[in-house]
Amino acid sequence: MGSDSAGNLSGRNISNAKYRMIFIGLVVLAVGVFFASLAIGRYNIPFFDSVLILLAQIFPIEPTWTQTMEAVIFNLRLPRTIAAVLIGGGLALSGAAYQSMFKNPLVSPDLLGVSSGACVGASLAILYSMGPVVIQILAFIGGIVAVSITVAVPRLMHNSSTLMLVLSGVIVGGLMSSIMGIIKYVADADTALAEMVYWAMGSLSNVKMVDLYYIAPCILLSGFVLVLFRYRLNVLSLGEDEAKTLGVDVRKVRGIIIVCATLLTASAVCLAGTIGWVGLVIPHLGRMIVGPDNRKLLPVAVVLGAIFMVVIDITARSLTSAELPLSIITGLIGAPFYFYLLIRQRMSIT
Amino acid sequence: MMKKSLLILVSLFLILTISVAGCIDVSQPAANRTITDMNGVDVVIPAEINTVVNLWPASNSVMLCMGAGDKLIGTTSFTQKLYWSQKVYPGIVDVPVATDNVEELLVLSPDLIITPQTATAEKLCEAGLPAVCLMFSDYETMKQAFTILGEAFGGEYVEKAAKWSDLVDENTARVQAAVGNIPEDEKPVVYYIQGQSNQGLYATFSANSIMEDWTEIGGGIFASTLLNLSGSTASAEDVLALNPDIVIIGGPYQHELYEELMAADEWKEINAVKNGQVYTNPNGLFPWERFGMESAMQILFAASVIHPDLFEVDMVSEVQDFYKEFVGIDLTKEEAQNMINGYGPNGEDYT
Repeated sequence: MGSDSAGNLSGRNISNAKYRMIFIGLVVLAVGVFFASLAIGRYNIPFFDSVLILLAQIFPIEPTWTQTMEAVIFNLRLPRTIAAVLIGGGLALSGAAYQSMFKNPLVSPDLLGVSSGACVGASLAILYSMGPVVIQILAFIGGIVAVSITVAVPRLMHNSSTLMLVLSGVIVGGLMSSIMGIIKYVADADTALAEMVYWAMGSLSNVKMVDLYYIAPCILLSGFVLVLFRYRLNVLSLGEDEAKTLGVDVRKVRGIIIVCATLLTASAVCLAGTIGWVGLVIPHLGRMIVGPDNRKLLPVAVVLGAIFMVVIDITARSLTSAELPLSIITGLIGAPFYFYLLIRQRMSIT
Repeated sequence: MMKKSLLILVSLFLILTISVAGCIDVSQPAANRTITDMNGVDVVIPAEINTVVNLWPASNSVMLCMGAGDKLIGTTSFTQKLYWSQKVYPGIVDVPVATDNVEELLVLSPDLIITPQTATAEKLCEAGLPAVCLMFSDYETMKQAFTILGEAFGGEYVEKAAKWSDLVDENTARVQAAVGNIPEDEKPVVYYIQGQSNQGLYATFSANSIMEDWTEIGGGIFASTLLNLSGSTASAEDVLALNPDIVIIGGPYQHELYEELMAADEWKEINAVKNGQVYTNPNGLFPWERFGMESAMQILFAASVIHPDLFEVDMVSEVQDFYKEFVGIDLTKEEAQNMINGYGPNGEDYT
């Protein structure tokens, strides 16, 4: 286990040259998907026109398109595509960080209760008709409270096994869903409830540029810190004693990682509600490609998560004239995929 | 010793239960007539209905509109908050908010309980409470439901219910005479935004809703019908691609949503905005475009905004006549205009 830098999280390490190639390939793919997302949608904009509309931002081109086309791309598709990139990347990153820190392949923002805690916080704010800033603050507090309880239970039991953490996650998840139930029960069926259901299922349809202005910095900043800490994450997973001898302040680093990963998840919840599976499945996919070394895994997980989320959002808004909630699609794809990963990796979950 | 006291306790409990069971009076309260509710269930109710618990905002508004607000001894918080409820029946703020809790309702013991849910009506009837299921979602079911309500209350209310059914038919005929001959391909597309809460510009109603009914009577094509929409949220891009000719925004958040739509770049070149045909919907005891008695006037209002050139109507005097006839109060021109503009009687805004 000492040589395996992420505990029992399997996957083979790859050479730096190969990693660089994979990473660049993924970034190119991500850029491609990003522009595809601007060009695809139910409002029919000829592909050539959408390219021109984008180019017209930089070069002076005489418009051959309508103002509506331009507005559809910049007011409807651009904000939700940026949001999808931030949320997908953020959830995958926080999932990868949690998994490696808890040395536990089952951990994800969902299992730790962060998502449901954040959802409870956000719903409380909606119930009292608070503004978006308060919604985000309460979502963050809800997330932190939930993850603290989940982590505290195994400590109280003096049992740090995977099973204990999973069990604790189930307890917190159950508690949060009950609280969610109370809030929904109290909420006005015609008004607040509809908004909460929207939060609980996840959707990007109401994301506007203004929402991004104050949530994007949160996601970028905490994501940046996590990526900076990727080497320390490796050290942490060697065990406390070894980390200390390598000069890492274990408690401080742990605290910073938990705060950042929770902030990421809570910000994602603020933008689009709870979206399951991304934080669990994408890090595994990343490990399958570049191995468990966090120095390579974290950047790859961010890009993979972004690609995944953008593709999911394109599907959600293009399939039918009624938008599909994101969690439905991520669940339909994520659950079978996770099963496939389990078989493929023959993960020993103890 | 423990065992003995336990035995005494258990036998005491048993004796008590048996004697209580024997005491319960399972017969109906003094009742001498039955009415049949929307599900065809016969419900026994007292000869005279003086106290009503109403669990649904829409039918609360109907009672207030019939001038039967003083019968309410249990209402909904939504009903209490509406400025027009308070105008029509000021006592509404003192009526307690009721729930479907059987024991609380047994304590209240009203002459009639009104609920929109079959399961709730069944549950309450089993407990011996006079509960009727009164659900309505379009003009036909409203005619039925109001007739049942009229029968239950008796007297002038029977006439009011009949008058209301006639009014719907009359207004439909009036509108049809003006716009009935428009060929299908010349009918404008009407998009409706539901502003019960502010869920953005793409919260609407499904095809086959009452919105489809008044749009079609008024000589328009309902956007959700074209989109085959079964849910209540439309895809933004689909709506824009339809290029609606008319937009009608309803509910308490209509003014906020109106501002948002007029400021949005993606709407600037849409027909409705270009031609100045974005409207807020009248909102009185209930949003007219949804249900309630005022929905009879929605037929006129919708036609007047869908085909302003073909159908002209003085909505202010329509509202005044309607309120005099059904509610029994005189509204000033200003108050009527405030309702048409979606505000409270004195111009209060809901947001």
